[in-house]
Order: sequence, then structure tokens, then C-alpha cells
Amino acid sequence: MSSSSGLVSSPGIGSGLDVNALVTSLMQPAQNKLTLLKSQQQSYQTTLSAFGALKSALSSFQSSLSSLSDPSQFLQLSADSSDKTIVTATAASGAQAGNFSVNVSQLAQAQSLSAAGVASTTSTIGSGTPTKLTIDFGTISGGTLSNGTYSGASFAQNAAQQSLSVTIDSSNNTLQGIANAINAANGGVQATIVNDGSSNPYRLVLTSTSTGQNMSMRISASSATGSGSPDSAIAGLLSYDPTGTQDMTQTAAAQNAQLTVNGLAVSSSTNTVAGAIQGVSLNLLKAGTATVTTANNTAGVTSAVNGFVSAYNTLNSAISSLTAYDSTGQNTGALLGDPTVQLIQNQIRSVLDNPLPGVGQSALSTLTQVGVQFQADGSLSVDSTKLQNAVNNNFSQLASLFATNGTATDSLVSYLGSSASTQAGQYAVNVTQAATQGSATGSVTLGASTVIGSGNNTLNLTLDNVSSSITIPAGTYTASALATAIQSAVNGNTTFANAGSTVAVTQSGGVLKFTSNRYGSASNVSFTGGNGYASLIGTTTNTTGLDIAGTIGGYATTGSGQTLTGAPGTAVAGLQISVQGTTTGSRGTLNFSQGYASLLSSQITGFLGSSGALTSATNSLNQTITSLTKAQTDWQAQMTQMQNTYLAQFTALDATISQLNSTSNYLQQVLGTSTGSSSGSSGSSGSSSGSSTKG
Amino acid sequence: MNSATELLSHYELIAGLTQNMLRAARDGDWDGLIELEKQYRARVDELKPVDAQVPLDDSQRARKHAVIRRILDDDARIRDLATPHLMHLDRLLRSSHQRRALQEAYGNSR
Repeated sequence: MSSSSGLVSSPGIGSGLDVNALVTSLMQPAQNKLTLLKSQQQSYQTTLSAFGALKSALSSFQSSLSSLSDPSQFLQLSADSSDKTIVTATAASGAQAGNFSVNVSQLAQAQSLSAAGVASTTSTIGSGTPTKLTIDFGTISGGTLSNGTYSGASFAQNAAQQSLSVTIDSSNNTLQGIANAINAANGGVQATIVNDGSSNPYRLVLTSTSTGQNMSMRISASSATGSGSPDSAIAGLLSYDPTGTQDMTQTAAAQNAQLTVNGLAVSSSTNTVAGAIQGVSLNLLKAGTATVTTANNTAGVTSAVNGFVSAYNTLNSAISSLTAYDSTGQNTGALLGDPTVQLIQNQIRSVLDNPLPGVGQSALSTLTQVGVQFQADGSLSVDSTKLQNAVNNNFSQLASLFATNGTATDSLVSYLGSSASTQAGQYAVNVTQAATQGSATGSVTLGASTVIGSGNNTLNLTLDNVSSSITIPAGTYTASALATAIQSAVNGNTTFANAGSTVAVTQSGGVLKFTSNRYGSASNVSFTGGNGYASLIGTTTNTTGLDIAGTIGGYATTGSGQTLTGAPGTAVAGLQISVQGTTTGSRGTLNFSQGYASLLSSQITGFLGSSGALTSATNSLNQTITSLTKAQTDWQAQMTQMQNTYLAQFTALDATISQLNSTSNYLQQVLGTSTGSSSGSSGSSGSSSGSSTKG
Repeated sequence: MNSATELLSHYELIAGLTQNMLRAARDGDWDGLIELEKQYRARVDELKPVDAQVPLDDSQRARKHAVIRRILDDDARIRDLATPHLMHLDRLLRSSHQRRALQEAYGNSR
């Protein structure tokens, strides 16, 4: 009785039972199952982390490929100058390798004019009568220049440069006020005040903000109200007409840079000369002779190839450690024997091992040809001699080996771009209709000289569907000179320039012809009026341009201007080529290849994509981990349920034993009192307890 | 149960119950044992107010005592079987508590 109630209040004390043995034999199986679930989950978790490491190794490798995927990285030339104090040079796409002798005889320069000195920068000049100063820009030619003053010269206004106007009145009629007004107008003239130390030391100096001989200034003063005279003191200080009164003195003449490139004369309005050498920009610093050398950027390519090899080796060693076998089991990789990793590794190797599809017979087509090869341990190595040979002898083909590129056999056909679905291959280019330019030809035959004045100097025209009006600078022109003047007025027009449209104006027998520099159906020229229209052009014959038409590899294309684009759904989908010239029919072959970098990059995109091998592998791992987590939760719940069942049974049984005791006490009492022989009763009780100890 | 015959047959009924209880304990049918014990207790409780009032002759008293001894004998055997099982349950519960305490201390390593 006491041992039973003791169990309730203080379970197990004095029971003498082997507690540990009971725990081991009864609870351990349940615990074992939980431990097993946990270790399974841990193992899947490790595999999942390993896939994460693989993903990041693949992503790093892919980013290292991006510089190799871009052909401009390879085709880029380096430009160098033998004397960087005379000229520096930078190369862009389109540059050719070579040596160029550059002789700079004159730098481009902006005109500077200096006014007469005054005593103070803040004293008023004149009476404050509102006076408009107008600054025109143009070219001074002829005559003589002596002590900063022209005589007998002429001035041709630069139609492409807007005139600058400022008003001087009683609010700003000091030297400082005039300088401030000109600078605030921000119209191509910089005003500064110079102190020359003389008795009237302050001189206003005006400098054109642009270099070039067509940026000389002509300054006139007029009444700001439109009637009456300008203030005579302002007019007398600042008027400047190179063909007449020059109140200011020229301290620097506007001039173009003059240079020769390989003996050919070049003039440039600025000291940055683009186009004198194709694809090369020259920056002129002083007069003198230097040699500019453009060369293949071999150092850049060599380092790009070495970078590729080292990026692959980084990926390779990451995969090696993830799939390592170690007989002790200590350093075994989590992905040892994993089929997804094997697939990825095999596919990448297979790309690198096989010749590149789509490159021509004579071109480089394998990595081993440029000295990149597999070593016994699966890493790549570079044979620098072989690579240098390839760089020296096959430089342009290196681009196709690594980058997505197209090369054409016809020099007037060029590769512009491709889409992800363009397939590598050699495609015949066939042109059924060459692209043409829109044009307008006039009916008026111009004489030997044409005078342009205020009555015949405007033309209204539409170029490539954009309309504007142009003004021809006043002057006397031959037919050729007029064609040139109109061409520069149109090409200097901001409306046309903003639309990217330019025109070429030619004359034949005194008849002007306007040709849009654009090709295709969007190319057109027409005239709508202007005061010079009837006398300079007359009626026009207009021709709208035609888009190119043809096939690439026999597949349909769409033509826009000179550009053919492969039709969607074909092998050449998205392939873009430009075809120049008027020849129709066969135009040679285009070899289109996706270089190793491009192939690998799109393959890795495939692995990492939402339906890629890696994603499905990690998705299934995540599912397994989720179900193992649920199994653990379920098993925990079952263990708790088991425990609750035990607890209920314990409580009920404990109460039952307690009740048994109380009932048997009663029965023992009955036995004791009714017999009157207590010994018989205790004897029976003794046998009962004796059996209890035995049991 | 005012007659001796009725009283003795009531005792026999009780003895039958304890026999069934012993069988249940031997079979490990602890829920059965708990159920039978309630009936057993109820029968004994019915007995208590009348037991001393019923006149018994010597042979009847001897029969009654023999039945009580059988009952007490079964009762002792039942406890011999139930007590170790109670200990066993006690250990199970203690180990569950230990496991829970460990989980609370170290968190659920999932």
C-alpha cells in the first residue's frame, strides 16, 4: 500500500528496477527513428548546400565569359603616338592596323577681340540709351591683317551658328555690366576683363567659345527699341566688322587645325580630329610631326584568353572538391556520383572538346589551335607560344573562336548582330533588290555665278519625313559652291540633325540634286517652298528610297534600309547583316558562329534556368527535405501521443491499486472480527504478502 | 441479501470478479483490470452495511472466510503483477520528460 501511493507522489523511488535498461529497451526504438530522420535530413541538406556552391561557381564562370562574348573586345585596336606632346590617339571600332605619319602645322584656335581700355570697371559708359549688341559668327577671308585690324577682307556668316544678342541700357552700362550680360547670354562668346596696367587699364576681351575659322565674330550695335540710334559710346567701344569699322582689336585669329596624315592635307575646326584615320580619334596638342601606330590589342586578347582558362579552372576545382572521393570518408564531396553534376561537367567539357560549329574551313575552330588544352587532371592549360602564334597570324579569327560573330566573304556585306535563336552556320547571301536612297532633282539650270541675298536665301524642305526651313548665307556662288553651302545649311539644321538625317547636295550642269544619306523606304527629299525655291530649284523629280530585299541561306528576311534581318522561326532568325552597294544576286557567304564563350554562357543559362538541370535537382531535394521535416514533426506528435497514453494508464492503474488496497483492508477486517481468531487472519495476510514478495 | 445464502452467493460473485481481475492482470489487459476493479469495489460496498447483520452458522462462516481468503489471495497476485507495470510506466514517463527537457535546452535541430 505504501509503495503504491509512493509511486504517485514520487515515481520510481525505491523500486529497485533498472531504469536505464527500461529506457533503452522501450524508448530507444522511438528515439532511433527520430535520429534517423534527422540524419537523413542533414544529408539532403548538405547535398542542397553543395548544389548552391555549384550554382555560384557556374555563375562566376558565366560572368567571366561576358568579356569574351563581345567581339569588340578582340577587334579593338590599340593606338599609340611616337610623341604624345604633339598628338595622342585612341582607336575605336572600324580602325585598321597601320602606321600613320601625322604632321601638325597649326592648331585650331578661337578668335579673341580686345576693346579699348577704360579707367574703371564700374563707371557708366554712355547715357544708358537701350542698345542691342548683335554678335554674328562666320568666316573672314581675303584682305590683309595688320596689328589686329583687317582691311579689304570679306565676312561670310556661318549659317549653322545662331547669332547672339544682348541689350545694354542704364541697368548695366558699365564694363563689368556688359561682361556679365554677354556671359549670362551663354551664346558662344566668353567675356573677360583684363587689366593691362596702363592709365586706362581695363579692357573687355571677347573670345569665341568654339575654335575654327568659321567662328569669327562680327559685332554690331543698334537701337534696342527698333527706332532711333544706339548709344554712341557703347557702339564706339564694341562695334567690330572685319569688312569695315573695327573698334575692337583682334588679339587671336579664328583658325582651323591644319595637319597632314601620310601627306594628305586635313583641316579641322577643332583639335580633336576624328575620321582623318578611319576609326581613330586624334587629339592635337602642338605643331610638330609624330607617328601614330594602330595595332591589334594582342595584350588584351592574351589576357582575356588566360582569364578564360583560369575561370574554367576555378569552376573545375570547385566541381572536383564537390565530387571528391576519399576512402576515409572524411573529405568525400557531397555530390560524389551525383548524375546532375556529371551531366553538367560532361556537357561543358564536350563544348570545349569539340570544334566550333559554323566557322569556316580555314578559320580557327578548336581551342587546341590557340594553345588551350585539357590536362590529365581535367584543368585547362595555355601554351603561350601557340596562343601568341594565333594572335600574330589569325587575330581576327580569334574573335569568332570565343565570341558570337559573323564574317562575310563580300567586303560590302557586314555582320551587325544576331539573336539567341540564330543558329551557327555558313549562309549564302542573295540580294534581289539593293537598297537605294531617296532624292530630289531640280529643274533650274544655275548660271556661272548666283548671288544669294535676303530675297532668295530660304528653302523649305522635307528630309526623311521631317520638315524644316534653312537659310543660305548671303554671297556670290558658283553652282558647286552653292551646292556645298546648301548642304552645310541643311546638315547644320538642328531639326534634321536631331532626326539623324543628312543630305548630300551635288550639281550636274548647273542642276542641283539632293540625295538623302539614309537608305530604304524612309529615305526621301522634297521641297515645299521658301523664297529661293523657284529660282534655285524649280520643279523637282522626287525618288523615294527602296529597302533591300533578299535571302540569307535561302531563308526569308525582312529588309529595312541596307539591313537584312532573318525571319523568325528560321535558322537565321534575328541574324542582321548590312549590305552596301548596288549589286544584286549572289553576295557571297556569311559565316555565323557562336564562339566558345557564347556557347558556354548560353549552356550555363540553361543549367541555371527555371527548367534547368540544377533547378530540377534542387527542387526535388527541397521536396524531400520538406517531407522529412514533416515526418519528424509527425513522429514527435506520435511520441507525445504515446506518452499521453502511458500517463493516462499510469494514473488510472495507480488509482486502481489504491482502491484495491482499501477494499482488501475491509475484507481483512471482516476476516479478523468474524473469526475472533486474529492469528488465522494474520496468517492469511502473511501468505498474501509472501506471495507478493515472490511475484 | 438478508439471508446467509444470499450473502455467501454475493461473496462468491466477488470472488469471481477478482479471478477475472487476476486473468486481466496476467494478460496485461490493464484497462480491463481497471474496469473490473470498479465492479469489484461496488460489490464490496454493497456488502458493507449488511455483512455483520446476517447471522451465520459455523459452516457458513467457514465458507465465507474461505471465499474471503481466495479473494485476498487473488488481490495480492494482482498487485504483484500491477506494481512492476506501474514502475515501468513511471520510467517511460520520466524518460519522455528528460527528452523534452533536452529539446527545450538545445532546440529542435531540424
